[in-house]
Amino acid sequence: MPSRPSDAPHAPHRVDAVLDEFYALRTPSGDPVLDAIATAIFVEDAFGVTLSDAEIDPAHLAGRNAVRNLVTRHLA
Amino acid sequence: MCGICGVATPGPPPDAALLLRMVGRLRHRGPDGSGYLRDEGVGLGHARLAIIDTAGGAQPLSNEDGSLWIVFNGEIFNYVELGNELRSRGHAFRTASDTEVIVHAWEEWGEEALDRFNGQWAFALWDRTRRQLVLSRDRLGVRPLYYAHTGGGLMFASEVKALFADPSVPRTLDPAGLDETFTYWSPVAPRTPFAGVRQLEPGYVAYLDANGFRSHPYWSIDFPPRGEEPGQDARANAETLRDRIVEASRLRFTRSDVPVGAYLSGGIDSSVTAAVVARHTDAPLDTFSLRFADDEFDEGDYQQLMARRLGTRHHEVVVGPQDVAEVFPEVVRHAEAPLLRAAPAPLFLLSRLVRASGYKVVVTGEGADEVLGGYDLYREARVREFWTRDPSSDVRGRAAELLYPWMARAPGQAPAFARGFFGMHLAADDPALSHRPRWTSTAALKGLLTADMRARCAESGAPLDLLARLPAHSAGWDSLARAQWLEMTTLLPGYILSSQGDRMLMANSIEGRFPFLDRDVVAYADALPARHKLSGLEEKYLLKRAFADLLPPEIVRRPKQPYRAPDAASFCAPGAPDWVGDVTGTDALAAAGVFEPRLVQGLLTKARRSGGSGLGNTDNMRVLAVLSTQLLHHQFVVGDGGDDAAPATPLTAIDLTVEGQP
Repeated sequence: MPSRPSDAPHAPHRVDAVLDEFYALRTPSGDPVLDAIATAIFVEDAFGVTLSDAEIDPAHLAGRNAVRNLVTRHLA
Repeated sequence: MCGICGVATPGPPPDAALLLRMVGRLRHRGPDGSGYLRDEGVGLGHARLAIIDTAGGAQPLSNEDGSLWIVFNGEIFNYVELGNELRSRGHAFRTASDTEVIVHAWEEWGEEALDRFNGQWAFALWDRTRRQLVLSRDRLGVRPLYYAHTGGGLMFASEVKALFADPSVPRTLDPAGLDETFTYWSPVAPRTPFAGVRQLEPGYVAYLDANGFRSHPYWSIDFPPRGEEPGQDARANAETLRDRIVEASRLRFTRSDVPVGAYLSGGIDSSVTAAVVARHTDAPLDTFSLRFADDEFDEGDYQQLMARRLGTRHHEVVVGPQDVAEVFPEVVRHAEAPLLRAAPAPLFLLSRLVRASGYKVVVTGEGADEVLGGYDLYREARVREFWTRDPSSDVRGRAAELLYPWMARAPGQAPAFARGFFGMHLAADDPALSHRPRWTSTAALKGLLTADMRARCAESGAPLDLLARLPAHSAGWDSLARAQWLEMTTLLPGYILSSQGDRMLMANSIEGRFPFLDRDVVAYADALPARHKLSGLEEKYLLKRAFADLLPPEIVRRPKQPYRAPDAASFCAPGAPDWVGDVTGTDALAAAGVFEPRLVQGLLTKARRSGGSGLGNTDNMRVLAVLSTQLLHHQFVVGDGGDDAAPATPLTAIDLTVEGQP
């Protein structure tokens, strides 16, 4: 894993901007569980974190605020 | 766009008759004229498709003092700017062609000139002073260039059939080339399907002189380390990407002395290039689309939506299975390679429509999938990577259900199959994690090979040889970048730009131009953060953002539909053409020695039972592999691939072995 330059997506101040990118073109499938998995794929890739099975769930990944909280927790 | 060929020999000057025979075999690439040059030790040949400086650009062409000669296939799109710079440095031009720019640029900068070219090319330069032949091919392999070593000498040509114009060049299939085809879908340069015939790798330059033959890369595919990409802001990146694609499209539309048309596939890539051309140029635009009689493959609604929005003069050709079967032998003869899909055949018919409509240049959307993260394979890889973080996780395994919502039998409706297929060979440290399922499923074709051929194929080294060529620093790339490198090294030059690209276009004397493969577009795209190409599972993210205002939302939002054509159904339904039986007869199979006749008969019996329409993906590929390989053997090993047409007139003949010329 490379170092974290200040402009990298996982730099704390970039989280909002990166999530804005994701939600700008996101296409929901209509299935909340699959949508949560799709969001988890983005979160893990963009922020370099690994979510637990319990976190890959609509309760943690439905909506921008929930995702932001989850990501912030992992990056803290 | 043209065809080039040549002979270098340590002996007497090459025979003019051989050069003319080679040029004649490339006539479909250049029906507007031809030319050859003879000198001590070398001969160059050229078949011309006149596009830039149609009056003055005949080849071979030289510098001011005749010490440097060239034959050139392709376009240097920034030739105007380079020409101005070279004039300011004192070079005198006799033509307004991009060909002459190459000659003077080589004089001025030598090999460094290649870095300055923004274009698609294969050329041969003959330096009389150094007695040195130089061969070069563009960065990504848009234009082909084959060669064969012959008794101390060298022959080269845009197509293999021109090499086979010399009966002394051996004509046999190469088991290693077949093995790569039955793994990656095509041989990987420098390998070809033919033993002893090589192709210059994309991004390479080669020299032949008193020190022998040698080649090396002047450019290579590269990506920044993950997390260290120079631009992280999506809005700014979208603006810059748009600027670059607009400029690339404008160059490809305006740098021509003949009208340029555009393909419209119904997808986002060709819609972008056509929309940019329509918006940023004043000329009326003709668009060309491929329709299918079968709704499963047809994208006509999207094509017509885009054509109406742009107000183009729109042309269509509707293709059915019988059309595919009818032209397939001709398609293989032009492709000069086994084909695992019938998809090149409709493209052959589309370029025929373009030619019949009076055009000889089209702009297309090729390359966007590779460069900007559009392939389903990249989405599959992202799902597999997600899964590798905990292969025992049920919820991670369900990610496979997000793939292919457009398929009638989508993995979402067959979770067990999806998990089995996309969960194969899951290893987080596998540099080919992205490609392993495709390579494994394609390699199932080898079960049809004879025991002898299977043993000889096993010597090819695929895929270990390919993975060994990944740059050492690629371990620091994003996994998407590694997948892009594999795709841009294998399928892009070997199949997309060749069997589906150059060959199907040039078969009907049509030049393709590809804005997404512009030097500056590729350089910018390669440096983007991976999430700006594949955002989660949203493909071509930045392209969609950059051009959302130019495209109907139905096209921006539609799930990607890979270009497909009816495969086995074209050949196994009642009424199939006679050639199918001819090339799959026991004698023909035994003569080729590639496939086990008993297994082929079993496959064809199974296929015919359902008219070819009930076969799975692997059996479809098997049928196509057998038919195309057998055709290839019949045409190029039993025959010599030839269609000995006379070179087109006017003919430019230059003989430097005769005093007083030129």
